[in-house]
Amino acid sequence: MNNSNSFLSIFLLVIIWQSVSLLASSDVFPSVVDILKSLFDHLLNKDLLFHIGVTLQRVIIAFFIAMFFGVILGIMMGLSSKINAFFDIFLIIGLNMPALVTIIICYIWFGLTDFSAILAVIINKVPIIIVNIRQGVLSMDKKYFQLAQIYSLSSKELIKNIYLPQIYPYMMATTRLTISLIWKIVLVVELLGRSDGVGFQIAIFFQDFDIKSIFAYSFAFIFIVVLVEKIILNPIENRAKKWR
Amino acid sequence: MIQINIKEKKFNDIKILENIDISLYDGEFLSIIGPSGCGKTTFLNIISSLDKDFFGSVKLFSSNIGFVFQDSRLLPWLNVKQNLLLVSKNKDLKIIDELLEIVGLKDILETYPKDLSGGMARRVSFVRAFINGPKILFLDEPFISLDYPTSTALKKDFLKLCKKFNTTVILVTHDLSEAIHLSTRILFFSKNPATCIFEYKNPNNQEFNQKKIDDLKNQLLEIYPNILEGYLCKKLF
Repeated sequence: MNNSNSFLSIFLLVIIWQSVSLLASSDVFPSVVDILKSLFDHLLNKDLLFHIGVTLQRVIIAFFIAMFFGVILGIMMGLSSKINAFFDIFLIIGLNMPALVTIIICYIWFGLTDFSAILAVIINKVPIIIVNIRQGVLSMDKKYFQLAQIYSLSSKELIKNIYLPQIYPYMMATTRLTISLIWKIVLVVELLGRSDGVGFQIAIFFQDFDIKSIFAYSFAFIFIVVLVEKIILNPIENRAKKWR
Repeated sequence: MIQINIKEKKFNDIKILENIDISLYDGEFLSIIGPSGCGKTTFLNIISSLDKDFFGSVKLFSSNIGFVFQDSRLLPWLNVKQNLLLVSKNKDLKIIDELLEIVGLKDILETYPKDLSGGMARRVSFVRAFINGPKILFLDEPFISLDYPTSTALKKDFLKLCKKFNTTVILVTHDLSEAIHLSTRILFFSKNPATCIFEYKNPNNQEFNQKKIDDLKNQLLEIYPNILEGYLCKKLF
């Protein structure tokens, strides 16, 4: 039912897009057919797959490092009021620091390198991960800790069976949010200081006013993100939701 | 032997418990009766080491303890088998099967708590409490919110389990008939702060009957007439 609804909504979007493009009859609003043609051209030239590969690599590295630090700090801040008080001010600064400023500072300090690009993304996204995970820890039901105390559960059992299952919904929501935010910020980082990747390509297409290629690249990348959601994230979530 | 000596327990500067001095012999079944909110659960949390913030001392003869909470407190994300194995020391499925059979449960190992009835979940929580053959068992109003037939059947199974493991039990309840039926000794708590105001010995925990009620009523009237004017008169008689 959900799949057929998704197909229907995509089909409607294509129809509307095609109709508007025909009515507008302008180069800046290309038709679906033109975008698909452009997509195939870029696929045949192999530049699309190369640049998507480069961007994906940056997204994956930044995602895992950001999640690693964000989850650990989020759990620590949720569990300890002292740690929370110490890091809270940094968290507020991090949350309110414009991404553009972080990116430019990283490029100035560490040069126009992949390291700077990924570091900028991590600095920008760790605070939002911390906030979500901390909320998850704070909302854990304390009554289960009494059970762990009575039966002297080991730290491993406590984390695996009491902490993680309760934080899990927050982890999944954070994973989704982080992936969607990270790939967008990676494009900006590439646009500002890299010589490859989808963001860099879009900057080039912008200079040429090649809007068909901009859409072709964007849709190709969105397609991959949706694929990650459907193939990796949904099955993990469904398996863990079995008890609900 | 269990020795409990709680001099004082405060919460936000308000005295909750005061001067509670109790000794328990192995195999004894002690019930604590008191009005709602008097501090019975706090008392149980202290003696089971869940709450260490008090003045006094608690000495237990064994660290092999079990606890049955007011709610079944099964972890909803684990099935029955996983819930039981989690707290089991020797991870022995045979014991689990045996205990589940005693409480009349079959084929529920793969079931998640959401698919259990209230009575079944409570039975599983009793099995969990007995899984390591506890020497001491703490119960915090475990039969509350169960219908009469379920609670009666569960009490019967519970006594079987106590006998099997020769467990020393401390039960917190506000139901006198339950206390008379199950325990060998009953302590009555007052409120604000809670302290032990009356002790009733029921050595053979014989069946609850009118003679027993009258006997207890007379003793209570004689020693603490004011009790009958308060919460106990409606609840007990």
